[in-house]
Amino acid sequence: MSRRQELCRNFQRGSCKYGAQCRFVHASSQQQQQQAKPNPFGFGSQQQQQQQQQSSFGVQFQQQQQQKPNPFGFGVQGGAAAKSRNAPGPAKPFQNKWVRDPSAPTKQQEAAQPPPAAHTSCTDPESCRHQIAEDFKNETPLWKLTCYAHLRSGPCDITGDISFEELRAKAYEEGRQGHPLQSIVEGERNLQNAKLMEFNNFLNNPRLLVTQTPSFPTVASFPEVKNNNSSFGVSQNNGPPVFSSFSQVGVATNVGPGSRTTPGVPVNNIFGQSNQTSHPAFPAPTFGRSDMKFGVSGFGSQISQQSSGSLQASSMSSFGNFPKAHGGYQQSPSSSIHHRDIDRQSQDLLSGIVAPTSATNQASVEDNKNENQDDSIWLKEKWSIGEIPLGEPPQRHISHVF
Amino acid sequence: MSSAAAPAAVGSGKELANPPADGISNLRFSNHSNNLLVSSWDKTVRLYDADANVLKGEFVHPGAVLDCCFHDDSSGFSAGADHTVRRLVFSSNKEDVLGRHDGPVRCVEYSYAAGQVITGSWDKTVKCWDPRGVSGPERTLVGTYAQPERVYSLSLVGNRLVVATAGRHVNIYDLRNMSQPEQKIDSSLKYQTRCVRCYPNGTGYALSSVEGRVSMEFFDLSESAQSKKYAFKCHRKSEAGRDTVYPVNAIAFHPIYGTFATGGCDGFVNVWDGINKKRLYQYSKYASSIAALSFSKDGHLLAVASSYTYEEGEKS
Repeated sequence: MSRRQELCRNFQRGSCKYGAQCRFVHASSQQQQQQAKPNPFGFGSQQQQQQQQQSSFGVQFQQQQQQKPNPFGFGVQGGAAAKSRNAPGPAKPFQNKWVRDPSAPTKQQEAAQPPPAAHTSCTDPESCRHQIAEDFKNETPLWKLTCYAHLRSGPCDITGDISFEELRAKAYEEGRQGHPLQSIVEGERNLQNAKLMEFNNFLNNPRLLVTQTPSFPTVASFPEVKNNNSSFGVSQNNGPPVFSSFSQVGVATNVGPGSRTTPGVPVNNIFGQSNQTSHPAFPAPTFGRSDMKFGVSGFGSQISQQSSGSLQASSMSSFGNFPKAHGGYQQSPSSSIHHRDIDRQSQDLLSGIVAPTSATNQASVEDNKNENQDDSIWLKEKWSIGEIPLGEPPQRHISHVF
Repeated sequence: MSSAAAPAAVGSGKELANPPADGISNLRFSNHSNNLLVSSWDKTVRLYDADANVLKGEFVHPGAVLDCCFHDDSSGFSAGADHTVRRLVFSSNKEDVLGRHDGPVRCVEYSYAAGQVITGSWDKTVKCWDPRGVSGPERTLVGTYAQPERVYSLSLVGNRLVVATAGRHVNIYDLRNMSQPEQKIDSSLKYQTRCVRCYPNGTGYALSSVEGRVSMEFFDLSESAQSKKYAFKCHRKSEAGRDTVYPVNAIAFHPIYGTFATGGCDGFVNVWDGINKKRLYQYSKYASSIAALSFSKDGHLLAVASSYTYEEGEKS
């Protein structure tokens, strides 16, 4: 949606100082037409009604309120001016004791967003990008280890959901196994940083799912990740050599806070990873779409495995391999198996969050065996939803590189 | 960590004695009395008489208990992180294992309509159990239903089951035909789903997420019904132009009025009128995040569980 078509927030509130020269549209009803579904309360999520939230409008028990915004408002039609709220509505059932929050105007500027109806499909990458930027700027949740979709009712763009309880169960388990509190905290921090990186990268280079069926499974599948190959090249700015040498990766993807290196190193030391470089956390998020949930993103799974205390030495070498699936940045034949290990192990890890450490080592052996049975899946032309493989294709099935 | 039963007046309510020693995972009022069942990360399930403020029973499990529910007034079920679903008999203080999952069991519900216990787990399945099965877990399992992802929350009303999983998937089942979901959709919220609760009148469900939003959805897929669905922001604190966005951990519907309460990590409980889209009131801030909410069967009491829900990881 171009900015020319955006409603002027000030006008809606009753006074715009630019008047006729205003860059935005001065119309109170345009929003109604744009809405995909009629909403008499002007209420849908992310409507410009959100600006009403700041003025603690609606039912107020003043002694109770602690500047809590009231999202409901008084059911005013979309586009009604916030200031003149008293006028248009019918007699309200509750006393209207709202006080305009002095900080409201600032917030309202930010809060006004294009109606989400515009984002029911990804026809306009620019508007999607805009939507994503708005979301991240205004509504970053406190809980970082979450999936994200820029389309409401659309599939997840960033996967790898971890809930509070899962993290807690994992931490309790680690504590039971005797890990020091510090290492548990480090592990969690790594998870969070990696996720933040993933979000950051998605923001900078959103790969929008235009070719996927709507209900693809959460676990990132390789066809989906492959869509992002070109973006990886772009975002990395370094091309193939990036993934082979971790130091370059660290530099190229140094989007996040520099302090990232610190958590990476001590965690590795704690878990005795001998061949560990200091950048396991970095590359994970660059695969914006990859399944952070200990899945496809080998790096991400690296971190999660570390944090759970399992010694995944084999997973280290797979980093060089991971990009191979995405376009053969570096071909290291033997490591493909390891990468599948990561996925399997990661999946096992997540599902067996309470499982003891030793189980994961066994999993790697099993994964190798499982891999042989799965070859036919790679030969299929088209995957249906239930059978999209979790891991990356073995070397022999990679037909071309990007 | 406190568990308080609050009368329907503004305030923070009466705090119950002998609360659990660690975070509360869920609490439920009985459908028959004002008994309150509380499950906790301290590996216990506690039964309180909320009116008398008395601890009536305690069950200790091998692992953290992630959910609990009543069967009738004399027995209940618990979902454990040790992968078990247990039946608890209050009078004799006995428990036995009803069944097992392959992963920690996150949710348990009892369906009066189907006479079955329904559990959702992080092993990506929902299982139905027949509690009348007497000998061992093998006999009690009625069915296993694969989910796209780990189950985070589920809710029942009448013959409908709504399952919310990781990755924002929502599956709606008809309990009479569980072979496949009636609807498979993605949540209309953009972030991780925290809680799902069905309306008492059975027309839809409320979904809450970590982004301080609740969406009100309807089962009926017709255009007229779907046009009524909406989402609203809540449990946010705005300061200097930016929102601090708190997860909404719990939703509870008043059984008679159909209004509902939401509790978030900001420590507030808000009560909303979903039809008129207004907030009715807000209780005073609790000491820590709201972990769970439950209305009593007559709607006179609201139980609020306030304990740290790990939204900021391990606090060292």
